[in-house]
Amino acid sequence: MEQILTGSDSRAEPWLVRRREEWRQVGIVAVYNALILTPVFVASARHPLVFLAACYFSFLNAVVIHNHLHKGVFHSKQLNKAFRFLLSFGALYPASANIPSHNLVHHHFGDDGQPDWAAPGHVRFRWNFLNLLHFPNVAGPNTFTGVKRWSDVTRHAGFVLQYNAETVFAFAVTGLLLWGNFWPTIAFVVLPQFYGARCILRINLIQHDSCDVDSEWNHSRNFVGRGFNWIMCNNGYHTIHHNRAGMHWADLAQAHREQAVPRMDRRLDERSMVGYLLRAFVFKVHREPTVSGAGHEDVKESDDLGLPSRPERFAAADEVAIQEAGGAT
Amino acid sequence: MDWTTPLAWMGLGFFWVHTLLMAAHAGAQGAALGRRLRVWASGGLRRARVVEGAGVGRQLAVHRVEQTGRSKGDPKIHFHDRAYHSELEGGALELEDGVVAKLPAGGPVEVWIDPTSQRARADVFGESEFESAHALARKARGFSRVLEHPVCDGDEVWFYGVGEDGAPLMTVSTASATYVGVLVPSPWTPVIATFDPRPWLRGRMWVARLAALGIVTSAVVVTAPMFLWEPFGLEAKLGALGAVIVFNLQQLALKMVRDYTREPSQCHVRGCWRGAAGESTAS
Repeated sequence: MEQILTGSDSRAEPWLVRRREEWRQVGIVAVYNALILTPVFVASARHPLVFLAACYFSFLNAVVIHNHLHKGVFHSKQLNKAFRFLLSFGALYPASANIPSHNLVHHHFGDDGQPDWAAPGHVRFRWNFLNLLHFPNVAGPNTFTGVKRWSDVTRHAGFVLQYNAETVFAFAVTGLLLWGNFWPTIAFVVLPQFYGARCILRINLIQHDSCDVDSEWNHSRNFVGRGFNWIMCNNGYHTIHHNRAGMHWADLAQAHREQAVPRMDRRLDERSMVGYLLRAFVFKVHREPTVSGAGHEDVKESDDLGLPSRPERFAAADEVAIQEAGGAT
Repeated sequence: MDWTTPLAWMGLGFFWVHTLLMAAHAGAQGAALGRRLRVWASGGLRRARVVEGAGVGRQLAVHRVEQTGRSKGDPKIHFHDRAYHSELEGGALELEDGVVAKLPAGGPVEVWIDPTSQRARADVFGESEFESAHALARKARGFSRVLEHPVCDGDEVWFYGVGEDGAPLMTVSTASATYVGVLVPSPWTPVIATFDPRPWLRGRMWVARLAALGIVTSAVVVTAPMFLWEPFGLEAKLGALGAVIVFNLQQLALKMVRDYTREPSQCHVRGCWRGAAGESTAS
């Protein structure tokens, strides 16, 4: 079952990182930190293009948080924990928040009665564009109050300590930068931090709005552009990510083509995220109708993959998430 | 050219866009409550007494909250709400003017139990019950329970749902959700409340409105230094720092307003059982 859920194989592991592709994630984080720190110290780097790049890479930094909290980048658990500090500074929120909020709650879609803190239904402005803007204002506090309640009952050893330490580190480093050079830090560090943190919340709306979360294969929207997925570390393939949460991100593209595409409503495959955003949020006032897969002959209800049931998958993914996070439930 | 200054102004612009969105959300929440209050004020909400309950234990209606309790091993069980149900089991109400309204089982209804008493009921448990619950709460599946609040024969209630002649109001069946920036139940949905719901609604409506005002006011306070003193001087720095803090507090305030204004049929009950001494708290 583990192989089915995770797609793991017996390839030789490279030095330091678990997969060769992880260097892409390390590179993203390195570029991002260079983009936000250089303008603080070098006046000539304070340019709008640097700012825009910093915002974009801040979002990518949050994508790395997502991937890293599913499957750690490094062999060493200590190095993985240390990496979370750097990622937390980049996002100005503790990376470990992803364990309860994303891995253990969002991935369950409310099946276990714990409502998804980032469900699209939390925002319901008539003008859908406002929902896109406003979503993080609702999902953010849902997440952090939810994490607080979760931490009251978790038996995940050391979670609270790690979470608090990441919070202190992120705010302390940002505070030091503000103390040293206030306005450049506001413009080139804090604004990108906010942008990335809020966009990763917003992506929940983009990937699940008007989808049928009760469906086996039509619960998510995918963005399948090759260039997009290269830089996004395959985070466009969301259906297969939900169904095989333990699968390494580098394997998602192939699994999407082989397993998700034959079974899902093809309307949930979008070539371009920008195109989708323009169509669904700018050129259209109201929400799009739910894509349920009904009436599409390509949709296969039967599961010939030997895919375990949703509760079994959730339980297995939870176990992986907790192990990756470095503790027991 | 150093682009820090225009980027800082842009950041202020984003701050204000989100301030207004959050104020609009809180305001819409208050407006939804106010709309229901106006519907009730125009007639229809009346005192009544349950004279017949067709359900088990002569229940006319029941409010159920499904909960899961979890514990990390300490002598506490923390509950979270999984689902809320209002069910009409059928029966009759005698309205204050003597008209008897027959209510069929399974019809649309919201059962409003005073949130304080819901939370008080959630606290009641016995020591032996705690032991068995605690053993389950430590497991991954958790300890499940259903909190039931019945409305029975003889109970005094407040009711919205029938006209002066006792016939259902024409719009009662349209119990669909209405979108006003937030998901709210239709003001036309029949309600059986075990308390006078108007002061409750009025209070929440004003809290939501004041929260909307507070969100905007807090933004004004932290923005003012940019205009009252030297732009990008010390005062402006304090204002910008304040804006970062206020921005997060605004989101938290909106979350509190959203929770506080949840109607009693959907309000958070949650709660925490504490072992040994048998003390408990509900949040």
